[in-house]
Amino acid sequence: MSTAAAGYLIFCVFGAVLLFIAWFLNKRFPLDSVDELVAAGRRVPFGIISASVFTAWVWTGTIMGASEAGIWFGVSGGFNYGWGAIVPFVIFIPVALRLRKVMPRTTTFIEFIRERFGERLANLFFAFGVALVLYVCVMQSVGIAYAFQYAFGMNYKLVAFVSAVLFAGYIAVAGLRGSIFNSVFQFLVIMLVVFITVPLLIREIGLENMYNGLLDAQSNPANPNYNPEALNFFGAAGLRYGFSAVVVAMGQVLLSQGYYSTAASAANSRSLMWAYLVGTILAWLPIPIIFGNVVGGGVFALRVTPEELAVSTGAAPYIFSHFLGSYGAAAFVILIFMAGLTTGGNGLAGVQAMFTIDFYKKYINRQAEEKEQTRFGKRVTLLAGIIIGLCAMLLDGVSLLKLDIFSGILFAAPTAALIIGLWSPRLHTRAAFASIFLGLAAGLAAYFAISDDDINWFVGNMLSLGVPFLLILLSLPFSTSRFDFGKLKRYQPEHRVKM
Amino acid sequence: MSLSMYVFYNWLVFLWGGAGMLFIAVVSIREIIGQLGMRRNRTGQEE
Repeated sequence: MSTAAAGYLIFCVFGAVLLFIAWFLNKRFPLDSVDELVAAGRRVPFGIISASVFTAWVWTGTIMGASEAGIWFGVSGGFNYGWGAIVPFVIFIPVALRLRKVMPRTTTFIEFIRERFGERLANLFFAFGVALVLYVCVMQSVGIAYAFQYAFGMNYKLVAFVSAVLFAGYIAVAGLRGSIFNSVFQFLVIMLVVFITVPLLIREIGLENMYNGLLDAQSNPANPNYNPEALNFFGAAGLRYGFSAVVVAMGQVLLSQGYYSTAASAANSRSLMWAYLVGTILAWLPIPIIFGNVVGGGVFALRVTPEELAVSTGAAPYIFSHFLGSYGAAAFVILIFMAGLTTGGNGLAGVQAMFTIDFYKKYINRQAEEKEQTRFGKRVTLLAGIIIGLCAMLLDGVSLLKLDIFSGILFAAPTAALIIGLWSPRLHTRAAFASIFLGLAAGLAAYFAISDDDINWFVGNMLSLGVPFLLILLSLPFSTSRFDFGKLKRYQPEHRVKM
Repeated sequence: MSLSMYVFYNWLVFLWGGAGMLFIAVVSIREIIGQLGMRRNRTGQEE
């Protein structure tokens, strides 16, 4: 079998399995209401949610970006990527629990923003939320296409487009339940691949060779990967990267409706909390550390430079195929495929919820029945998949990590208003608006005005997240506004919610 | 960081991740079987 044929076979087999699962779920659990479509009936148990959260947060960037961090920062790279990406979930968990407590019938965070701050701010958050998901899903399709192109020589544009349509397809067919249950299958595949390939890689490279490579990189200026902090777990550059990862991930978690939908689908608050804790800290956090260490260690052991790799995010597939041959390359592609599809699916489940609940009945058909709402939600999901696919086709050759860092500046600014607005009755709508615009302006200004490329991204990210928090906290003592959270408890959405 | 600490660190992370993933795998498979079984019983009762 030719290399490309093997790649197409892998793509088609896994794609068929996922679509079959979605079709089966649709038969077993008919989507006869909005709540079934967007919240999976609100009775999904703890383990399934854990698997879904884990896989939704394993992005193509988790594998490739963490690997790249392992090369840039040495032994601390994967760890800094990991803790930076976990902090937003540690914040998300109390946010989701608080939302469930004060507004039990909500599904989308847009509903909360609308009731808390009004229609205009809700529309702004809606725009941010949709833009974020489209961006994230495009990144996943790009990552999948890179992987298949690198390993099998498949056509980048074709894979980018079809993968987007694939994850849009199974969400359109089976809704959030399709995302969650498919995630369990994909979780098992990811687990198998990691359990098999990582020990083999470590055996082939050798932990001692990895260590010696890092040691040489740390002490030998002639080493192509020379980095005096290569073996320093607390190196300054790595820590800066970790703090930036917090900012980048903050918006990606707190503005991504998919995580709120998954949280809403939990059978109760206790299982929600444990599912998110287990799925992220216990199971997810080791993944970027492992890939940072193993891929980074492999690159240091071989003394390969990023310039020698086709694209700097090509380190992970390079190491897999170099040490494990064609089977390693295939395993890596399967890993990236599963990671990208789950994240894309989770994101589009969120977009589906947002358009079904926050858009259709408000702006298109005020008299809509739930059947019409669900039909609209499914069509928008497919349309979003096509748009994502087309955008991903245009991004051949672009570094994923650089896009990720810039996105932090764009999407971190609204998070302060959302978080503080959930707890403080004093936060006024005008202050929330101002914080978002000023945070965004500060972040962008710093990024473009600071000429040093080593720190402009860091300062820009810090300002985008920090300025809104500072502004809001400074404004609270002077605020005469007193929001009545009791209104949220009495909130009734326009569709039936089974409690 | 010494070699022994580096080796220990890598083993720790791998075992930690492995335990976490195995735990989720076992629990979620049991739950899926339970969910499909519940649905089958409910459908049978309705018929």
